[in-house]
Amino acid sequence: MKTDRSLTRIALLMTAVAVVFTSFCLCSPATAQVPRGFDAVAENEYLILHINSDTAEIAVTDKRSGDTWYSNPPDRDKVEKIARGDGKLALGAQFRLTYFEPGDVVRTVDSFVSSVAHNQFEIEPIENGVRVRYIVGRQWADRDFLPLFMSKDTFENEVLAKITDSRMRRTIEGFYILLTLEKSTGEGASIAGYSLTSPATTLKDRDQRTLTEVMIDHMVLNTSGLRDRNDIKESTLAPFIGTEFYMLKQRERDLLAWDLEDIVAVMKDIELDPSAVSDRYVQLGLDPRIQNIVVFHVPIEYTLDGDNLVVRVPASEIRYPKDVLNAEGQKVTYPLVTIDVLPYFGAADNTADGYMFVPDGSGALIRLNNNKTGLNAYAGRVYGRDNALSPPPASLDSKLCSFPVFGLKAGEKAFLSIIEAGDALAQITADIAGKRESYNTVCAQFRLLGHATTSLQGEVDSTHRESAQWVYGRTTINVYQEDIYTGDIQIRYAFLYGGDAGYQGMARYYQDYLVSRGWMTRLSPKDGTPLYVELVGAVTDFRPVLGVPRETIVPLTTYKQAKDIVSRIAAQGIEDIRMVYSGWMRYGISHVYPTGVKLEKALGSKSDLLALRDYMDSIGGRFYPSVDFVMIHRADLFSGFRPWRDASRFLNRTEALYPMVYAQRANPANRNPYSVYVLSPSRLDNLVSRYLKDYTSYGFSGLALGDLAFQLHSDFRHRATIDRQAARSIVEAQIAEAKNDYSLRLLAVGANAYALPYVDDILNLPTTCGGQDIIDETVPFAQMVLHGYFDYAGDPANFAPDRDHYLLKLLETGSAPYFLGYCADSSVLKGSAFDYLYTGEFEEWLEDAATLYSTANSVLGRVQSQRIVDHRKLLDNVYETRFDDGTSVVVNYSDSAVTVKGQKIGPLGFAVFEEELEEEQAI
Amino acid sequence: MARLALFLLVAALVAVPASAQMVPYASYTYDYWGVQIPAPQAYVPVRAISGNDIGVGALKAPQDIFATKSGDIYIVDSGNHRIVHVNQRFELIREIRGFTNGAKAERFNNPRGIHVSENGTIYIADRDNNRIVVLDADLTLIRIIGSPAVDKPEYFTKDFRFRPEKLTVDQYGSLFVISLGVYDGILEFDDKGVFLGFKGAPRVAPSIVDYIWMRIGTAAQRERMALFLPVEHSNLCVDDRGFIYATAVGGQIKEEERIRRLNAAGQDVLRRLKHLKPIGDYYASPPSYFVDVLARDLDIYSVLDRERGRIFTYEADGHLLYVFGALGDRLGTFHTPVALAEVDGHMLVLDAMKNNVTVFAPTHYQELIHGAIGAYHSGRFDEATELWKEVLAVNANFDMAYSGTGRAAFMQGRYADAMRDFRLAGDRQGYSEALEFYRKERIEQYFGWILLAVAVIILYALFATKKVTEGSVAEAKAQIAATYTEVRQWEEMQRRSLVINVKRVLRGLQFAFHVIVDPFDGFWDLKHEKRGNVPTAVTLLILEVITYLVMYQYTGFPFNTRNPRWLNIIAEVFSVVSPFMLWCGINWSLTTLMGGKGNFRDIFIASTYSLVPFILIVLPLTAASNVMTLNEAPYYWLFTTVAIIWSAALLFFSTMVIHEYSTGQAAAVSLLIVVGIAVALFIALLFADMFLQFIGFFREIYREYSLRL
Repeated sequence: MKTDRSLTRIALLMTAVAVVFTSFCLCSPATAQVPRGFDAVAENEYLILHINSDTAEIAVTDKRSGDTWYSNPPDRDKVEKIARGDGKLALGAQFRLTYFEPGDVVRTVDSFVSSVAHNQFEIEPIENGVRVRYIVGRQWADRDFLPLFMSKDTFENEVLAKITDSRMRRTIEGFYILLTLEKSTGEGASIAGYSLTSPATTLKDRDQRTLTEVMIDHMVLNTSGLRDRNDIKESTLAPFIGTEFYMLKQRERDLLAWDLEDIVAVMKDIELDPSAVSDRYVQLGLDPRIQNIVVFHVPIEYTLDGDNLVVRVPASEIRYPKDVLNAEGQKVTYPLVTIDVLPYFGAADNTADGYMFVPDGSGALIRLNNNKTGLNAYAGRVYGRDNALSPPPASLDSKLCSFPVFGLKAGEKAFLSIIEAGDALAQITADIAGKRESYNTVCAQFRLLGHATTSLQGEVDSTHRESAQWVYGRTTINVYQEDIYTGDIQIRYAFLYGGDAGYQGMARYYQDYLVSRGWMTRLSPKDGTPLYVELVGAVTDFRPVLGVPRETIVPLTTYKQAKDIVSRIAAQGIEDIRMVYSGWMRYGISHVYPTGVKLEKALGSKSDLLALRDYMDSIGGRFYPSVDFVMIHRADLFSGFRPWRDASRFLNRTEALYPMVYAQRANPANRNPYSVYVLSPSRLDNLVSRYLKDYTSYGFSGLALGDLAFQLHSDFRHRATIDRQAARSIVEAQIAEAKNDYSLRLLAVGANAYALPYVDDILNLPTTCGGQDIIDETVPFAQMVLHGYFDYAGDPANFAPDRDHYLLKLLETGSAPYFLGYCADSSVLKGSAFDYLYTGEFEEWLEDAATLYSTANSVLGRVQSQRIVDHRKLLDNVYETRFDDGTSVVVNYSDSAVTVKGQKIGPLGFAVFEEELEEEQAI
Repeated sequence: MARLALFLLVAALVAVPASAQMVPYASYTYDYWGVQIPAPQAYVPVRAISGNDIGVGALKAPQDIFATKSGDIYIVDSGNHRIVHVNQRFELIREIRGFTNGAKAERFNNPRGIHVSENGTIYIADRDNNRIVVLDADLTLIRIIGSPAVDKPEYFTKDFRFRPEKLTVDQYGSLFVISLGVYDGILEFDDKGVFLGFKGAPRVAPSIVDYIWMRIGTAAQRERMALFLPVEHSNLCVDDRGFIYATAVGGQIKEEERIRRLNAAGQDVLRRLKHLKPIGDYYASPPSYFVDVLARDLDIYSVLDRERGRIFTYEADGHLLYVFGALGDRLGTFHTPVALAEVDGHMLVLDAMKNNVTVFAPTHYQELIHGAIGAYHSGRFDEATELWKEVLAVNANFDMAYSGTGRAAFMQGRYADAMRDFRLAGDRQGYSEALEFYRKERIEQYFGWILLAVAVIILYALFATKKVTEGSVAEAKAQIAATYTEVRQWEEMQRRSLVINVKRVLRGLQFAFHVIVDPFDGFWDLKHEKRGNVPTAVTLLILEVITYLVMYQYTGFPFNTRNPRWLNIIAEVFSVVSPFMLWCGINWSLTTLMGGKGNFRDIFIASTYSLVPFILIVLPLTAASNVMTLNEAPYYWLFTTVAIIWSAALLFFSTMVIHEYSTGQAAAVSLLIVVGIAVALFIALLFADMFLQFIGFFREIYREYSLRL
């Protein structure tokens, strides 16, 4: 046995060497050739950053492989077959903005068409990279670059002198003429008693007449005070008299289109400032040229950091038109709502082979060019919905991304993006080629400013529409967050090649990333899988008492019963029991406002609870009483919770309150008397501290963060807005406090990335993706990142549709089994608001739990503290997961038997392979 | 922990307590009250199959899918004018684009429906070619069925065009067709393709408003109305026994007739529960819109609701078994679901916008339910019971399973358990039957005690009666009258004494017994002898309210069709007191105008006394209802009716006596009062509505002001 192992170790080592060597050969050292049109602006030992000073595109050359990554597809002129016009030009954009016009019309602009195309950007070097400042929104119209009048001085020194091309200079000279106004001598044409003469040449009569007409037209058309030529008085002409000035010889409308283009091009070229032209106009009594007010200033910084490209958008420097004066002199605001950063980075064309990775649920792949052109693009919000933005939709649309990462693999190379700042505002979007563009793209969109639709009658957003619309004729308006997010947005791009170019490599990279920052530490080596058991203490129900329905406590598992249940589970030979106890405080699941520990009398006495705690300690299990901090179930007079003060606010300034109703309702007869408030993040600090102080006095060593680690929402209170990113910091600080100040062992529900540094166990870690139509494959990315660092479980086994399938999922994802239940007969819940616990009677699942556990433990027990090093699809519905020590588990979800590595695996069966000497083939 | 609810609520976590298999919607069923309650998933989406997966290029607006018993699947790819024939693994067998008619190759034009019979004959509704094409298994043409109007023009209007949408064929080869724009029912053809006539035209049920408009509208308006009256069939299928399931949409069809099961004579024989009929979602607006129906084994059938993308499955009696599906953009949800099929236990749903077929695999839960129904059907009751028990272990919310275990407990003579289960199931009939035996059992058990109690009661009654007969009523009256003056003076003196007041009330209550048996004398005395007083009246009113509440809460289960959980005490009190006060008020206002002699106080007192029979009958009746079965329901209703009539009669007499009206006058006044109440209610509603609008208006102004500035 021992020799076996050392043999395989040698084999492994050799393989590794071979791999390194081959990759070295394949990816010949970079000649670091500069892509055409690009200039190198930063370089380190891994990467060279280039920027194209004409288009602001960037390119990153990887010295290790010689590959170059582009912010925009370099071959788009040839490849793009679908988008046309501006749509095609937009492929050159480094970001996209959406904003609202007054009147709630949404607009999208991109950095190419609205900024780079007008040359409205500047590139400045910064340490290790560059910063590009964009002005999005054309500031001046072409016409504004066409001066009708210019002072002699300006024209000769500022314009003519700067034109280097002599031919162009002559052309421009040809369009203008130096003139002056003199008291009319009665000959020729005149305006209000003055006639035009040219100091340089003598004008022919005909020319003089034409020029006079032109000047009159120039003036009438550009002065709001003049209705026609008869309005021109001597006083109107006063600024012209006695000065020499140049005038455009033709009427604007008579100019030929290409002449106009030429003049404008020249003027732009010499950087003529339209505002100077405008100033001159004002001096001459003409209307000033109005600058476009819908202009956004956006800076982006690109820097190299080791083998990563780091893209940063300092949102504090983003400017958008806020309370600006429009042409009518009214204050208007164009709220900037979202920004897509590098939407085309690494975009794969319509022939590429590979996939996009999105962190939906456990992780998901969207194959490049998968032909699903009729289906919606992928959009997944990082850390789920913001509950203060709008009430939850009537249907279940959970699209939870716990990790702020995404990536794309095309051919033998891949990139992984990690959102490092602004993650709580991010939404990851991915779309395939063949719909609007010929490229497959995946990127992050950031919500800079929350907005929602509200009806003037009261409700927010669309949720209540179904029932409410026929009640009133609705009047709705948009409401916006007061100010834009002012933190940073930062995305880190990592580049992977060869064997690493895949979701496996991405998971490994992200794992290393988290470890290197000290956010995860390896589990100490041990054998045995934990069993997660969640017991429900009590619920409430409305039952008639003396004829009057009153809220009564329905005990489901008393403290003593909980102890019995655990002891019976332990009697099955299960050692590592992790028990989550929810609904153990006053009023059970919908417990009191947690300002302190308040026990539920119906469940037993304090000593019973302490006995339970001691028992859990004595068997070496972990005990996690659960508490909800974020969702407030009770707001009665003596609870200490004052909705007007403590609840988050929706954008329409009402308190964030949801009826607790079962999802997918089309049915107003759902009479659930419960509703929940969303606590304002600003109150969280105080609440958690108070609770923890009391809680630790009970001597508990663990705490289950009921909703704290997965619910993240803003507070749109007027003049005291807390955006989601700020809320994320607050929540993180609370979890850190529980961990560091009270040294509690924490169990989190879901694995939102910011909670990872502090938690020990994770429950409800998704084992599948959300299943959007466009997704092709579920991958256990989350598990590949977390296994060996955390103990975790998915969803309760007894609620799973199929137990066999559940077991296979456990084995594939390395999840521990998890059961949720209670002691009482489940029929007591019928008709109550908690009837969603429709199964769970402990007697019903005890035996199942024992068998499921023993199977899972026999496979996963010995790899519990190891990392998942590989995961792959062998056949349709057949997957292999490989652990550090070479153990691999093959699961077969299909309903027919398959043969893998010479071993037959039955339908819904699995096989475990010990370390093998086939390593070389596998890689 | 509330997160379990919160997933559903906040939809923040992927984990609905459901799945290692991803299901993007919560499953539910309905309880007795028509409330959606959570349930386990009966089916899980496995995969979505597009045309590319089959290898025939993208589908384009496909309209129908049909699966044969042997597992062949036919997809009608309407937009591409073809039929795609695949096996149950979705491997392509053939693409049917047309057929040879004589020497001519012909193609389909927008085919919409298909049926393939056991022997492989393929029937295709070739809609835009206005024909039905019948091919054999080798695609040899058997016949083309053109417009039936050619043979039987008398059935059709002149501008009729035959546009067959859906079709089905029964075991005798009769063909049933739904044609676009035909409102007379399903077209029936015999096995030779000869048109026989229409079948099962749905009855139109115009609403009252429509009816009134029809009466008073102009001819032109009526014409326009006629346009939206017709009801169209949306789909149909035939079950093993030759019954036709048909779904109808639109128009003013009765809700429960949206799904019908037609026998050979075209009569609807679908079994429906009294309580919750198979209509899809209850209390939903807009209602479910069925586009397909699928007859399955064991007389189970599924219908597809396009409105919310759900598939409802019912068993033969009309119990809802499970619901799955939703609208959305995830696997297992639909955009425009159009057709339903079942192959090898899997459900297939065709989506005309996503252009794919979603495959749903049954779960353990579904298998348990079908197993239990199957066992019951074939008479294996013990097995059925065991299965129902397993169902309950998985889903404690399932009414039908409780009925199942209740039935088993009943058979085994465990009547108390049976009653509990039937009660949980909301099954009143079952409960009542169990109660009957339980009662019998108890009576037998405690027969001695009961006998003893009865004896005691009889003895006591005899003794008590004796007491009454000793002193005659007249004597008692005289006695009372004698003390009356004295008492009144005494009362005047100590008006504020509580004891005296209580005594007054007690005496007043005692007098109530006299009033209800001798109303003329009683009411006269109430008024003229000042025998009634306000405290007594108020006490009576309170008693009436309490009686009402007791009736609501404690009526025996079989007779109580309200949910005691939902009692809103304030609303209930209001619902008794307000009509009562309205009666008194209107009574007073009208009679003052019409020469009535009574004042408000008299009316109030007399009216409260009138309701005493209600108290006297309903209270014991409510108690008795707990041991009554549905067999004794007539008695229950009889007593209830007596209570109402008695009280109503007393009200009438009180009006007569108090105001000193003749019978005719009293009748007229009573009628007027009823009308008056209606008018008052109408005005109150009007005011309430205006008031709310008024409030709403200012709220709106305030909100707009605060949000925009």
